Amino acid sequence: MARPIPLPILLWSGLGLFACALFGRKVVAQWPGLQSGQVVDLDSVILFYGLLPRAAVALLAGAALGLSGLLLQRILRNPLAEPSTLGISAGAQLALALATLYAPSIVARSSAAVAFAGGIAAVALILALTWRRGLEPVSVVLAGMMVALTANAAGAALILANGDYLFSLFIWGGGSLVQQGWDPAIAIGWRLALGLGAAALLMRPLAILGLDDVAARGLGLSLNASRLLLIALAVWLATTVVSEVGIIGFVGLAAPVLATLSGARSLKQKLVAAPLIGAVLLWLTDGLVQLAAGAGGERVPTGAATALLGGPLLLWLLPHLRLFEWPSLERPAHTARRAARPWLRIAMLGMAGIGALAIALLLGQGPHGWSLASGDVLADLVAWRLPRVVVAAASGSMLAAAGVVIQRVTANPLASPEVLGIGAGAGAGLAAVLLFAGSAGLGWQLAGSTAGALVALVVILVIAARGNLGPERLLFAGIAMNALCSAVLAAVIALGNAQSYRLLGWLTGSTIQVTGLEASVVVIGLVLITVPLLLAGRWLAILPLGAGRALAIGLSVRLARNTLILIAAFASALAAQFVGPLSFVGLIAPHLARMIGLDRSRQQLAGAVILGALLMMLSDWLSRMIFFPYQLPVGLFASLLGGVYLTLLLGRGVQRRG
Amino acid sequence: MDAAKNPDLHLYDVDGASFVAGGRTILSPLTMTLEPGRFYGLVGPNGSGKSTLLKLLARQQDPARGSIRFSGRLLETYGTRDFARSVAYMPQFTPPAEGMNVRELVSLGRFPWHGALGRFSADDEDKVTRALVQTSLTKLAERMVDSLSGGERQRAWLAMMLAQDARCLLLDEPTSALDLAHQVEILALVRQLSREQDIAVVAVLHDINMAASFCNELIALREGQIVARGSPDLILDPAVLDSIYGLAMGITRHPQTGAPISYVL
Repeated sequence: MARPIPLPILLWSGLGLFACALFGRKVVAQWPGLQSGQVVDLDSVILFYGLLPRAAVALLAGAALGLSGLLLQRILRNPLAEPSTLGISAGAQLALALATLYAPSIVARSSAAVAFAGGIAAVALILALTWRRGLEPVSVVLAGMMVALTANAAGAALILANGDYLFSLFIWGGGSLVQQGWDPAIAIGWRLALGLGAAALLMRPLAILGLDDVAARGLGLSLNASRLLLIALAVWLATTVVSEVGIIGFVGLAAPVLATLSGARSLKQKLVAAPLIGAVLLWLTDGLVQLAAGAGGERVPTGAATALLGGPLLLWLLPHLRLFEWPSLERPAHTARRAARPWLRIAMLGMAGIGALAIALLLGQGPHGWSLASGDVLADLVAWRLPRVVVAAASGSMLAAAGVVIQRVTANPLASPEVLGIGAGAGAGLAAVLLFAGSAGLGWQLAGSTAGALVALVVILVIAARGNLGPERLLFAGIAMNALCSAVLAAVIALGNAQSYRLLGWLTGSTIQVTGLEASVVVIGLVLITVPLLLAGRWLAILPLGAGRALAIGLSVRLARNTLILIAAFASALAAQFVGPLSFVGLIAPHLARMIGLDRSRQQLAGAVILGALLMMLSDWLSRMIFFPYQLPVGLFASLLGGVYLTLLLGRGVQRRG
Repeated sequence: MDAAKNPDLHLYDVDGASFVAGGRTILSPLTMTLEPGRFYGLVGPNGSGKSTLLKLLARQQDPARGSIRFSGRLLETYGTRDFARSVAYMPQFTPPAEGMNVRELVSLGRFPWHGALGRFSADDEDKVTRALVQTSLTKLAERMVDSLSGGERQRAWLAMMLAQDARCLLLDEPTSALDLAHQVEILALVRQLSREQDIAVVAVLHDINMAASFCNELIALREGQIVARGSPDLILDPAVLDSIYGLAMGITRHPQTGAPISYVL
């Protein structure tokens, strides 16, 4: 009795064979003895120490990531959990970079241990942040994204500060599978074997953990102990891969989901299928990367390629994913009291802004300690300080304006240019411009980043509308967009030329080199953005009520929304040009405005714009002063501040609609 | 036959309108007319197409086939704001109006009249105040919408529709989230407004008895088709109810008013 082989298995076997064929092609090309006359048989060296281990690493790392993703998704009951969305990979990478710089001996002894420490630290941070929310999926992934972004920015700053010495680290960070021996394959291999064994032993707790907490506890499972044990196992697998080959995103996400879609129903089936699918995926991607690279050598790291493939996959999956129904959040006990005289409050904010500007220009640290500049010294200093302070302030204002618009258009208080990946989209656009015209001027760069931001925003919103995405899925879409655009950036940065440094600088958001010309461009941009937005106050008041309702009271939703989106994209792109993609000011400033009682659309906008400027000026000033005489990139500094704020927000339980 | 020739007499003229979503027919081609100033109740089981029909009337969705006229003019010939001055629509779920007090919410109803940049005139102000009075919300005008109870919030949304100054209100399950007392309160208010100001109301209602006691006329849908239409007395009949719900139901009389009341057998 021949039973027909199920279609998914056929499909995966087919893909596996295809990967095999790609590999075979390389092997044949390198087969020893084809090229005669060589003293050392170079071909066989390449074959045995380059090609074969590379295939082995691809298979093993893919399997390890698939298993790790499966475990994390199961334990956290979060279909989007995986090493890269949880910040585990980024944490491991930052730990490695730090250790390479400051404690090279430890890295030499065991890079895997360092990576594991970094990964565990990232996960511990995320769990601590979201524990009170019962590890709710959105909070977990959001916190993960924040950790990952901040770790990436910190890593970029380290590279910038240390130049070429660390640049290779960044290329490796993109996840290159190029091999020079069998050690990585062996290192990943035995850990994978152990991990599979442990997962098989812990199968029953794992099955129960898929239920909700009450049911699990009712079945007599010591919940936290088994959870933490399994998380540690998953982190161990993932960080091993990071320490051996770098960050490879999305395999851990895609493999379990694809396993489910391919019909793996029971946990046992998934434990077999997910690693296998992960292995095939990574091997196939690597084969394609090598095929694309051709004779010209390695250009795109495989890790970046998986993110390029995985980002769209995630975006496509989102409407189909069944998110575990989480108990809804309780509303916060109090909402901020509305200001009795809002415009007075805004005027006071404005005064504070002017005061901050004065301080930023006057007060500073010199070789002889703190001093207030005056007279000729001031005139000298202002020429240096004014442009950067103005650029920082105006960028903050624009991000805040974009944040208000996006939060109101999507009716989602957690949305912002940074969170939805619009800043990263601007970066991808910029990267494309720099790739094709290395010496493009500011105008072209801005055009590129605006186009990138707009495309990112439109794609996100179209997907949101198509799949009828609620606020939470919208955030997931933003995370996917972030990952996708970051992958483009990583791929271009990995080229290692002058443009790469420009992009690295962009990523960290540095205002150190801005000129008066750029400052005036930003100020003009700010005016062009805020004036129409203030005029569109009524649109901004109506749109949060939802499209149907807005249409019912006679607002042509499409026109209003498209106009606002265009403005928001331009604002995000222009701001990101100078302060980088991840300042989080666009998230924070609108919240702060609301917290001090400015909640009507125009007032919130005006308040947020001033607060954004204040926040950025503060970040800029602090970034100049804290490590004096060294300067931190202002974007990085703002993202650290923003990270702290987002953390508090998640801990407290933000009010969400639903 | 007079009316058919002179469409101006009708509020709505639905001619063969149908709706299809994802290959599934939600509404079969449907033809009907609605008159001004009456309170219509749309009833029927879940998935019968009540909400869809209401959305077509509200121009929230376009029919796949057929045409809908309002006051003799095809719906698509109206401008967005133009239409909103005549027809006010309330979707089933009211979103939290974050950061808005009641007066501001109600003021949004004036948007079709003043637009995005127009001045908020004294006339607008009057209409808002009147809507607040009509819905007894004057005392709550400065309260934040989020802090209201379910019934109060529903009244606030109703006030917004009144401020819109429309001739026709389309309500999608206006009472679904309310307890019995508040259901009666809202429906009585709607009926009163409809009578006093000659506003037509089309409301999707789940409770057939509630619909029968407040509406002038009931329109019953099943599987995307109108299966019955008429006065509450006509609809509240065991055979008709069975054709609507596919459920054996009986009719008794209200001890005081003598109005028919249905019950499940």
